[in-house]
Amino acid sequence: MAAEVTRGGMLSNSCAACHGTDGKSPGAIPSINGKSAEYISQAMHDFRDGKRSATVMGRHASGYSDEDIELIADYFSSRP
Amino acid sequence: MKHFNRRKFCKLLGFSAVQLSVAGLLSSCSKGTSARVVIVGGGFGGATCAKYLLRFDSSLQITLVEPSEKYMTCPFSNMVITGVQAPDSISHGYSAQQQRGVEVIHAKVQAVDATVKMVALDNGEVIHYDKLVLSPGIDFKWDAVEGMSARDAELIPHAWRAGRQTSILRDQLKSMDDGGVVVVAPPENPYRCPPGPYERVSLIAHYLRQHKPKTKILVLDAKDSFSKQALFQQGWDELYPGMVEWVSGSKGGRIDEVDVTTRTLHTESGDKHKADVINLIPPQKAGEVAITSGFSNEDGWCPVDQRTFESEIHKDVYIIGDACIAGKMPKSGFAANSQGKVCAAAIVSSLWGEDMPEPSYVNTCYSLLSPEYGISVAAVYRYDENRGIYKTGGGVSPVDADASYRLQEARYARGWYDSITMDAFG
Ligand SMILES: Cc1cc2nc3c(=O)[nH]c(=O)nc-3n(C[C@H](O)[C@H](O)[C@H](O)COP(=O)(O)OP(=O)(O)OC[C@H]3O[C@@H](n4cnc5c(N)ncnc54)[C@H](O)[C@@H]3O)c2cc1C
Ligand code: HEC
Repeated sequence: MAAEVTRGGMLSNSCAACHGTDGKSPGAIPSINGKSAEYISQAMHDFRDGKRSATVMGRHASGYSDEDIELIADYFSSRP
Repeated sequence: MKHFNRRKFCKLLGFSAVQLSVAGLLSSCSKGTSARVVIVGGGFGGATCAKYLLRFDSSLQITLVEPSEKYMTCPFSNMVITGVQAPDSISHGYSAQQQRGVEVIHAKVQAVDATVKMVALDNGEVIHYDKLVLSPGIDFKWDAVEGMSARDAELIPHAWRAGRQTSILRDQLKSMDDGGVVVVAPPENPYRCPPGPYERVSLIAHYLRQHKPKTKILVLDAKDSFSKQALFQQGWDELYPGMVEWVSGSKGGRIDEVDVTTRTLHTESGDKHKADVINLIPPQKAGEVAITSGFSNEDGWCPVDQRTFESEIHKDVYIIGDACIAGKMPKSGFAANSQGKVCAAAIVSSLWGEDMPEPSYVNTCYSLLSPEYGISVAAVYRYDENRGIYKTGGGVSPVDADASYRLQEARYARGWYDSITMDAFG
């Protein structure tokens, strides 16, 4: 699938090194493609606020604003 | 109509063509800008950039120049050095890139002439580019190591570029007797993979504890502190008590001279250390081709516009990965991968005549202290005109975590490896 040169795309490409290209993971880190935008957004907020326990995601989520999270959630929810 | 740039024009045409089912129009449209982008170096930076360029604009003609048919990663090479993994498990070819439509040429770039936009290869070929990406990794400042030259790395390996060097260090560790000394000597900043030497110390300790438990590891450091230091030292005490001694630069760690034939190190403080195996990691600079082509500064690294990675010295030349100066980002495979994507977006935006959206960059360095004990340092970055690339979030693994957390991070380190190698080479 073609990738977009959009703000949401630029933010979301950052996740691929761990979650796989387009969010499709080949290994131990969970895939995040095709999940609903609500699910991804909720997870990111919970990681950032420390409401959901994690090894590394709390530290990553701390680098993104609410607006960033919405763009990212939309992006991955649209990846098949 | 002529106010549209080519891509927008294609989009428009593509849309109507699909509706009208005019296949011929569509295929002529997929030519897009058809600009030629030449990428030098098929490591983490170059391979990622090639893939994402084509994902962004399938009409581009991408040529990737890389001497090796198989790229061996430095990440997880410390697991190969200590015999836990086989070299094949960290080697990646270029068939996926070729299937995607990237032209892969196995040759070495000898020179770049940015004034005429030409690249000369060691096989005699000369290629023209519209945009050039360099991701040549590192080279070593051998003249900064007294008593040693590049050739001596056969006897005193650095293993800081994976491949033959990795096997030399592994074989030396395997054949040494128990009860001896292994010296690891990390360089001054900046260098490739800040926590890498300390992961190596850990995994060598893991090997020695099983096979040569009376052996000691002496770390002669050029620095007074290092990445994830508290976590590493805590782990060494816990996993390998009494085995690792770390000497800081100002307390006798800095090496003045190497005696290769007797495997002896003379320190600035006047001490002499004879060792059975020495892993000296020399100070570094950008990969040779970036320097000889005139893209580096007096320190040996390449200054770039940190928003696009375009060289500050030459237009239409982009430098990513270890070779470039990227603000607060460390020199890591993860950073090179992140930069490869931002650079790809910058290149297509420039070719399309559009503004690139604001970039976001990321890094995480996982380190293994044993195959079941992982730690990490993570960061998210943005760009600002005055500050360059700066950090907006992140952090290191907690010091008070339990064994199951460390085990989980070790598993995720492997998961990261699987994902990033797929993202770059798959
Ligand atoms: C022991 C060790 C462990 C590491 N662990 C990690 C880790 O866990 N996580 C992490 O993120 N990073 C890690 N790194 C760092 C990582 O390996 C580098 O930062 C990364 O490889 C940089 O990517 P690059 O594209 O800049 O260079 P490279 O990956 O080195 O790629 C450069 C490529 O360019 C080619 N090349 C050079 N000159 C030419 C030329 N003239 N013509 C054509 N091709 C050329 C080379 O053959 C090479 O394939 C580790 C490093 C070491 C040494
Ligand atoms: C350094 C690797 C790394 C990076 C980078 C990373 N993640 Fe994660 N992600 C993980 C890991 C590991 C987990 C499992 C939870 C944990 O331990 O942190 C996870 C879990 C998640 C989950 C929960 C999945 C589920 O099934 O409930 C979501 C959603 C997620 N990440 C989104 C993202 C997004 C979006 C980004 C980019 C902005 C991102 N991650 C970047 C490693 C990473």
